[in-house]
Amino acid sequence: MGIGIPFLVAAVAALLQSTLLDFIRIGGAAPDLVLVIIVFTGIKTGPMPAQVSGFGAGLLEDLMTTAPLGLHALIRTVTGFSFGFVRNKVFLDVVFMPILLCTGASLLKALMLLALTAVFSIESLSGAVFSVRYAIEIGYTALISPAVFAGLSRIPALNPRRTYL
Amino acid sequence: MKFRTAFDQHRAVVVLAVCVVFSLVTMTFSSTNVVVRPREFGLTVVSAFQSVFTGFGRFIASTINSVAELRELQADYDLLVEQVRRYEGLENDIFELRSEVESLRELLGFSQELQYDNIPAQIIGKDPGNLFGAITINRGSLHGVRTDMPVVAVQGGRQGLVGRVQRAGLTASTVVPLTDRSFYVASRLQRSRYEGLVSGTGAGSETISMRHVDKNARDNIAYGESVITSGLGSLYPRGIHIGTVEGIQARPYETSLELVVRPLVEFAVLEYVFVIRTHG
Repeated sequence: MGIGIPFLVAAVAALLQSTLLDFIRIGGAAPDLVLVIIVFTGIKTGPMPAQVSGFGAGLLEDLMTTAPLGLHALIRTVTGFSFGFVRNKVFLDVVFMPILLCTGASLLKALMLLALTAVFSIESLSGAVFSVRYAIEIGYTALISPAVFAGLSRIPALNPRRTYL
Repeated sequence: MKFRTAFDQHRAVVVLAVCVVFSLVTMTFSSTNVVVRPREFGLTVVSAFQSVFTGFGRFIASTINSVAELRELQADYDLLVEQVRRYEGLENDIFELRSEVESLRELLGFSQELQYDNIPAQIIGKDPGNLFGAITINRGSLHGVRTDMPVVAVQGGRQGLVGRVQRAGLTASTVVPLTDRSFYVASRLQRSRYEGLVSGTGAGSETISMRHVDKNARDNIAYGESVITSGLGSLYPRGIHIGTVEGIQARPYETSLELVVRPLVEFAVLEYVFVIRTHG
């Protein structure tokens, strides 16, 4: 499975998040589109394309924020790797599983943010995970996930055929 | 051979390890100058894409608005609607252009009125997440922007502090807003003249806080009083408006007051800023 298209999709999502998604904020929070894409990529293509595209998209995000370089890259890499192992192990329905998986991914991201904030003393992040804004982000991300999953299902490069041995 | 077979078997784990180690190393060193150059280069490249996406977004938004406007007009007019619509369209364009010209004239006026040498800039991107609140502007080191330069904006006819330049790429820079927890500025109450330290309370928060204000100031501080930069320290010039006092918190076990301050600048509608040249 190639990593070019998954990376391209995730990179475009990262750019969209810093520009166009700013117009659709609710309570100051925008959905985490990159996270949804990484989760989908992991489930459909396995750990390798998901973690590498996550790493690349995360680095792009790091360049656009005041975050320490590597913060988003690390979070996206681990997310891609973790959800890559769920590949072919879950029945992906239209609504319920995308919401469940993306909520799980958001909570995993929150845990990693907490750990990294503690280890690297990232002042800007202290308490951010427990804010109302982050709660809205989790809900908003879950809300858009079925639609994003449906859209990504139409990209052949992200939907390899299953092989049975 | 054995090594290669082992690598093939655990390729995903090896790549994960490499990515994680790389991320941790860059995070460790990103507080120093070790990774400043590649990061600035990356910012320059990424900002080009951000400009394109922002332009595209504004084009789409204006197109959608125009379509909605036309639909409303269609309900009101019959036979001459096409002609009237054209004229109305033209009128709207003229109105838009006039307001744009007025807005730009106002900005130009303020730019010339600012007592400090400044670099006008447009916001081309915001933080892709919800945790940091960084702002990307379309001016970089090529235009004279340097790290730690203060950034101000004009809203409602007043000049207010936006933040400071955290990183200057070649043609774009990243600005830390004053709402960020890592942002600090020495400040003063404009009327009562008490000093304090303003700091952010996190991205997304509508207020910031002013700490270390003398407890004796409690009876002299008025709600709505302006908070300005004090000029102490070399980073921010004195007299720049930060916000207005919205609340006073006096805890009996603390020797100083904490004021809740509403920033003058409304970040959600911010489009243009001025970078103040303070050095270099």
